[in-house]
Amino acid sequence: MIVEIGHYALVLALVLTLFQATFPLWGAIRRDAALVALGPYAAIAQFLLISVSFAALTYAYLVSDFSVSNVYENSHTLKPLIYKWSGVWGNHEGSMLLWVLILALFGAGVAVFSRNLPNDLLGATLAVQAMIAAAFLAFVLFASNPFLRLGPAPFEGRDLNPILQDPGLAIHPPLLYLGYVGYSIVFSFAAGALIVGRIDAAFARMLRPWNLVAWITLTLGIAMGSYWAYYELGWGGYWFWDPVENASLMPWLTGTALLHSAIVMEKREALKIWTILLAIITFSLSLLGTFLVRSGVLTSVHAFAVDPERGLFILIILIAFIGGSFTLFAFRARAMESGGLFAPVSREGALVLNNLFLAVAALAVLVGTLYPLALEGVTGQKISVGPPFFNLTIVPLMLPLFVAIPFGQRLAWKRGDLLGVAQRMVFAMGLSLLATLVVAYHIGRGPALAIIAIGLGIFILLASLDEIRERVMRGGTAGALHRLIGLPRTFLATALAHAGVGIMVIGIAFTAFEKEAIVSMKPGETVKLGEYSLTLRGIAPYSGPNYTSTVAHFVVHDGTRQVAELRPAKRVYIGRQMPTSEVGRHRVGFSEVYVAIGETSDGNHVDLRAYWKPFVTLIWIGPVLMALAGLLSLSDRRLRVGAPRVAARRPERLEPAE
Amino acid sequence: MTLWLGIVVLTFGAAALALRPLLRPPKDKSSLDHAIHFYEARRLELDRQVSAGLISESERTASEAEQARRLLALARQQQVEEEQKAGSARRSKIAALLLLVGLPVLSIPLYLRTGTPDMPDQPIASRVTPGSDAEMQKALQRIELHLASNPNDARGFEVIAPAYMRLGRYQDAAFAFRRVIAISGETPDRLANLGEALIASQNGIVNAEAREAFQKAVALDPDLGKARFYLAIATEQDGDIPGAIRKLSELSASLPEGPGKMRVESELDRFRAEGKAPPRPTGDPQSEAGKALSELPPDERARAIEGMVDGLAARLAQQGGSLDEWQRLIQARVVLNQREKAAESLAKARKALGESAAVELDRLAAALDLKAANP
Repeated sequence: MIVEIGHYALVLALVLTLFQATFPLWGAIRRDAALVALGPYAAIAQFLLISVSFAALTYAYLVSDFSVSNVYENSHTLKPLIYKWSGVWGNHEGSMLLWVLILALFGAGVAVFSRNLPNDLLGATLAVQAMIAAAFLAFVLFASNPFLRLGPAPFEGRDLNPILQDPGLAIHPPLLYLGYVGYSIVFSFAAGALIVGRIDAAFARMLRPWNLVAWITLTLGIAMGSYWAYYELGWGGYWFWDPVENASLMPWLTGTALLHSAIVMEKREALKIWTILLAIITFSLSLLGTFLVRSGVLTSVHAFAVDPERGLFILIILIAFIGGSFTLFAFRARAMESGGLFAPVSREGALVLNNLFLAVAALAVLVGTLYPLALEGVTGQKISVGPPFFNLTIVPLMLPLFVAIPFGQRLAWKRGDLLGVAQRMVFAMGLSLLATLVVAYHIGRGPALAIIAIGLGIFILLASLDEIRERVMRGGTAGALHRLIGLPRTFLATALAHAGVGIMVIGIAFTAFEKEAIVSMKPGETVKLGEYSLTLRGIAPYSGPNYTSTVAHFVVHDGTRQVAELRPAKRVYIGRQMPTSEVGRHRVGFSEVYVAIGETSDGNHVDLRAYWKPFVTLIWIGPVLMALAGLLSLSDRRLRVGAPRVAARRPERLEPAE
Repeated sequence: MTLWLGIVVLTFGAAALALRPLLRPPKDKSSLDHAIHFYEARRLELDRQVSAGLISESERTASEAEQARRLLALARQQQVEEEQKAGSARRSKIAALLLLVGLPVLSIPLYLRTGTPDMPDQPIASRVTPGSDAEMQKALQRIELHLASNPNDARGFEVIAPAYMRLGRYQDAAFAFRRVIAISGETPDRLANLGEALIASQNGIVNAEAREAFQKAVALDPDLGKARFYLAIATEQDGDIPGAIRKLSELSASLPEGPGKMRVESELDRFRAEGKAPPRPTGDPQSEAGKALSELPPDERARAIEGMVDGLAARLAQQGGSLDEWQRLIQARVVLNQREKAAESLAKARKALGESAAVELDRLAAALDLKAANP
């Protein structure tokens, strides 16, 4: 009964979105406040209905109701409770239900928090959001229905994919979906603004919190996924340029660009067309990511729904929304007035530069991801575009961008003074040069490029934070505290987020200095990893609740004494007879000793990969700091007003904004 | 019933929530009001920045001028725009009507197409009752775990194999029987069981491995009914119908009255129906009722027999009966070719007689090739 109620709630939600997609839009065009107001209430009702549906499926998982086909396929009575919870979204159908739930959550969020939106914009935005929801609800119901029943019901399920039986699964997909789907509301705002023709600073102000929420969650989702891959897959890498990773990176790059261009739009009413375009592109790339993961055109750890019919369904949704929004854009773009003017060297100019690099990087990732698919489709030839391509394209694009970060942060609005900015950074530059020399001295020999990259990271970190000091000390120590308190939180957020970038760059650059050992060992043998040595004590079998495993017992020495014991394992899950590896890690500051075991032979030989990874955790601490900075910025509800620097004399020539 | 109550509550709850604003329409804020509000807010923010020493007075003036220009432009645009507010009440009525009718009219048929309204929830906890398949599953998992680490435990495989057969996991059963033979050697019974599992896993086809197993079994024990029976079936599958009939007839003659013989006879009946085998040797009906029955025309006789069997079923269901009576009922159902009812009776017999008769009933079910219907 509960399961069927959940199913009906989902159907009802679909039908309700059809009304939500039409009445408020009608109201927006006719300027009928009552009809528009139907939008927020319908959005809340839609969210409640999908919540009922999601709760019903969760219930079916918790009580192991194998008469529900989806539960039978992905659960098992012996599975620990937390994986019964997370198993709800650890499969295609359930994750699509989570997807529409989050979609509805954002719609309801706009309904609750945006009471002060102009009526026409609110109506049009919620109508567009409802259209997206309708498309995906139809997809869930007709192509990926999690509520299909089995009769007679089996007595045992087929278990969740063992790789997904990890606490990381409980967090990674929901975060990533919050990000992906969060951009749907940004898209809806942009499309709504295009429909009613209201594209101005006030619009950018309304867009800001939603844009930030989507960006924060997407950032955390990607970082979480990267960390999970690092410790679960046993390869020791943090980023694989896997097509599905790329699918999440593309909207992140354009979303980051959007975050910056929206600042210009809000402060100076410039870059309007570009901001709207970025909002459309970012959500289009999210949809593309969904398509790539779910259509089965890719083979990857993430591709869990290999079904061409589903792929076609999403492709149609993709084409309808991208095509529709670009058509709307083409009609309305001419009507947009260009806003405030600015010189090439100015804060606006720096943000345009940022946008340019991020957009080109996104394009490079797009090409690298789609080119093999297109080639296979045309010639049938299978090629793989791997790290070499991306390292050759993304790294040269990112380095100048990173160098520009501290400069852009200091340039004045409208017209800036590059030389003056450089002078203000002399202190930070000197300090980071000194720090880099110290690091280089400690490392001794190594690739010069990696040392330069470390130096760059240190520079971004120090120069970003130094601006806070600079602002506070402007005008002497007197009143410094007053100024520190008076600093807008958005300003602090900028400095912290950029510092996060610096931290991440340092972490990535240090991977060039990791030590690796891929060996076969017997108990009693020792392998050296830089300053550390790893001794195998023994190998033993172990049985968990729904798996059996082989555990190796290592001790780690740092030359003088034993610092840790590690127990990496290789597990075989009973339900699916699939092996996974459990990595053993010992953390020293920001660095790690990392051991993953492979096959054991003759009961006393074990193959293993062991690494010494200096400063590896910085790779994830950086993005987490960026996300925290995003939260800080989100908490700042003040308006952003760009105060343009007044020209000392008549300006020679100003660039139009677009 | 509760499901439909839930459906009604959800539908009208959602409609009521969505329609709330139509009953009490909110005040329309003009977009110009918005712009003015926004302009004022930005001026306040500039004031704050100046007092915090973040921007200079001249920067503030420049910024304010920029804001003001924009506000003026918007105001001009607003005057041109014509506000269409007439007809709001009429539109609200249309919307309310469409929603109230449209929600149930669209969603209920759609749900009936995709959903399964008559299927109740089946949480595993409510299905695990003593003696049920689910409990057996649990026990099975424990044995499986045990066998995974003790792959040479013949006793374990011997226990688990019939359980697999009962659950329809024929390939697993065949594997288990093979393990038993590999560990503890061949006996006629083990070989015949392996052959039977193999046939079941092949949907009734006797493959080479199964045939070899039966042949070995018969070589060890020439009187082994099960092996002889399946070898006869194999002969039929080879295309040698007369040979198969001969083997079955010999087997039937050598067997005492009982379920085994009935199974063989039912195969022979199949051939008889096609006119390939000689008719069943007729015995004298022993009782008066029997005599009367045999004098009836064939149609009526069949009906009369069915009536008697149904009577027996009804009596057993109401008053219960002995193991013997239940077995007679089940066999009669099979003879009348009412296999589903036979399975039903078997399930009822299990329930009525409990553990004491489980072994007997299992044997009968195997002989009649009956799968227990879920109670």
